[in-house]
Amino acid sequence: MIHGVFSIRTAPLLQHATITDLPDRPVTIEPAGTLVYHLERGAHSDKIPTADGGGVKIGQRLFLDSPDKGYCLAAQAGRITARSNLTGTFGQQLVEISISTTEDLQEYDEEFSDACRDPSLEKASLFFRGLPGRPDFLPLTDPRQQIERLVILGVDDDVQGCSNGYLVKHHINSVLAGITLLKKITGLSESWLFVPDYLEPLLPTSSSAVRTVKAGYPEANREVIRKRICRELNIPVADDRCAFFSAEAACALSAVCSEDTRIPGKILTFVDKCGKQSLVSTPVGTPVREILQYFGETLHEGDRLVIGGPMKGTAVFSVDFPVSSTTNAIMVQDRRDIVETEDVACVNCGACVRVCPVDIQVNMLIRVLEVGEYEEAASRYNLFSCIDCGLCSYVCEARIAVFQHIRIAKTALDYA
Amino acid sequence: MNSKTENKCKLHVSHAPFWHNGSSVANKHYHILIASLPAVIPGIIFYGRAAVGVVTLSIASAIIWELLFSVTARQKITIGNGNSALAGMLLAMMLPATTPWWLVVCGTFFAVVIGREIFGGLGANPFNPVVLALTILTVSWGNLFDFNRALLDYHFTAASIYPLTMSKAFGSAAVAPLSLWELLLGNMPGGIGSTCGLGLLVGGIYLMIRGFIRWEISVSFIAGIVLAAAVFHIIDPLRYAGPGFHLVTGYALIGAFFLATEDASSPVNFLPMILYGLLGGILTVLIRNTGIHTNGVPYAILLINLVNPLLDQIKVPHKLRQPL
Repeated sequence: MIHGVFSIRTAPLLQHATITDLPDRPVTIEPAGTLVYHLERGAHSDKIPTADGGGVKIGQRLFLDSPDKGYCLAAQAGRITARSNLTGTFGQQLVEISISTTEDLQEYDEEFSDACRDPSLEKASLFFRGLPGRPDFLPLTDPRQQIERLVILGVDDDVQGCSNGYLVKHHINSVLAGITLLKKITGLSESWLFVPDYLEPLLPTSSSAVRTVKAGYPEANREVIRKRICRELNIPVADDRCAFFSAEAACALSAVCSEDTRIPGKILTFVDKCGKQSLVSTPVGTPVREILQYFGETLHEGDRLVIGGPMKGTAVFSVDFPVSSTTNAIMVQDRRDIVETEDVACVNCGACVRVCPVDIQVNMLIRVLEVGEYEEAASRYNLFSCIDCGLCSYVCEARIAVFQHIRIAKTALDYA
Repeated sequence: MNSKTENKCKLHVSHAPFWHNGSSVANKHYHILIASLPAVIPGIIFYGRAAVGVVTLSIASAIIWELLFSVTARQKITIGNGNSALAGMLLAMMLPATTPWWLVVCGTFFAVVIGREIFGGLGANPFNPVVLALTILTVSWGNLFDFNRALLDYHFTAASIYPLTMSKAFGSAAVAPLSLWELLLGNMPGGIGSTCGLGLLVGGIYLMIRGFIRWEISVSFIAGIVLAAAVFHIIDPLRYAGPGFHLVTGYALIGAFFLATEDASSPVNFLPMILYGLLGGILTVLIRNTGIHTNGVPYAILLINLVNPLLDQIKVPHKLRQPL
């Protein structure tokens, strides 16, 4: 897949981090009094149903217009104290709300508790989407998609993430319990579990349909895995009928539907300026500031704070950004380690073409993207075949922001 | 960590990915410059001060032309990426050591300004700038490129007359006594850095192994020369010299390793690269054997540069699905 000198590369360019390098237990970081959530706001509405000063219970859904656009789950009880408007990476309108947590008021939201006691597909979709790992039941509730198989990803799709690998290694029983629960909720019997290849010996022999994923990036990419399943079943990729859940989502489901209904913390990898990785467990909504404080990491002018991994994450401008239900890594980079992108013409070296896992002709694609011909990019140069791995930018010797051009084009075409 | 000071500090916000493999255009250009030394140094040793003058003037004037252009056009100054230095070096490698200074300065002007900058700079040039400049020079001042006349004062052990002129005028019998090994060592009239085939091979192989140039293009270019020359030689062995001769004379090896492989004007996919190289090699021999020019490489490379956009349209199969 990844070619190098003489078109043959013995090892992939990038390897996924392995959980064996990390400690057995994550450090638990409890937020000191404040949780932060980012809620998506509709394009034409600024209605704020969750009123200021309103009390919030554990597991209560936080949303603006309607929960259909997505919602967050309050990980702890408290009061909404502040909100402000933000613009997301691709122009999404977001509202940031802060919740002051109160020790004395820790009670569960009734609807959430009810869903935990008796989870059905409808309730799971309505109440569990904000859990760590973000279990997404929407494809299952859509009758047009006719989902037939559950795919549980025990692998992390970015290079530095280790959340799913950690749970497969140390909490395989709750992952398996989560899969059983998922089967019960969805009524599906077919499930596939993808785990890193070095963890396969740890799995109980009874667990069925286990597949291993090699450490080379982007083997753990969801689209690559979808392709593998379809090749194995000999069906067209457009007809995969898979619903994807992360191992972390399965674990969270089994946790909230068990006796004590406690919402588990989000597992993430913190990477400091020296590249040292640490495993962290913290409630969804914890501001990144607290994690930095815990590790004694100080940010200076020009440093970079990345929420998510090095290939697909998002650089943020403030340490007040929260850990979200899909944040698998938080990375800090010193300003001296930052490689700047450049606004230059493509030199046509072909490195991107050779590295692309889906054989997109990136050198031609970038030419049409740079002049804004997105329709042509989609029709002639297979823009939508792109699996968002970011390797093209990673190898670009002219240091063009190829991946960002691709993402902008996809977003623009989605809006059109 | 105090929240007030933290909010004041501006973080670096940019887009994914946040890692880079460290490759850069400058790195590649400097490696190609280094790889050209094994071919240039023998030339400098043989021709002495005259060659040093041409090489240094060529590199310096190329850099100055780019600097002047960047300042005039109010563009970011990028002479540090080594591209102009490389253009100057490659041009000097193909010039005779006795080239007058003004011709060198004109040549680098054509390479840097006409060949590259006016098209939009590095990466936007449709032709290899160095080859374009060389062609303009040979068409405009052909008498100064007559290697036999230009290098009259030097004594060569392998061939005292430019071998391609000999074979063109008198047929392959005239060049039959020449030893291929001696020709490969470069003891014959020619450009400063383009006669020492051994040096070019060493540099070229280094660049191919390190991945700075594509082996597909170099190997198929050489294969094209060998194939076409072999066909001509089999048809009329008296008139047309053999493949070995064509490979070690003129600009064949510098063309295969340093000129045809220029990124912007060459394709990037496997099959197009092979076709591009083969076509270049075949055209070289065709021009040498049936055209009026003794050295076919510059024209062959300009022609394959011209078909490069068409070649790269050859579709590659797709591994993943189209959108639903």
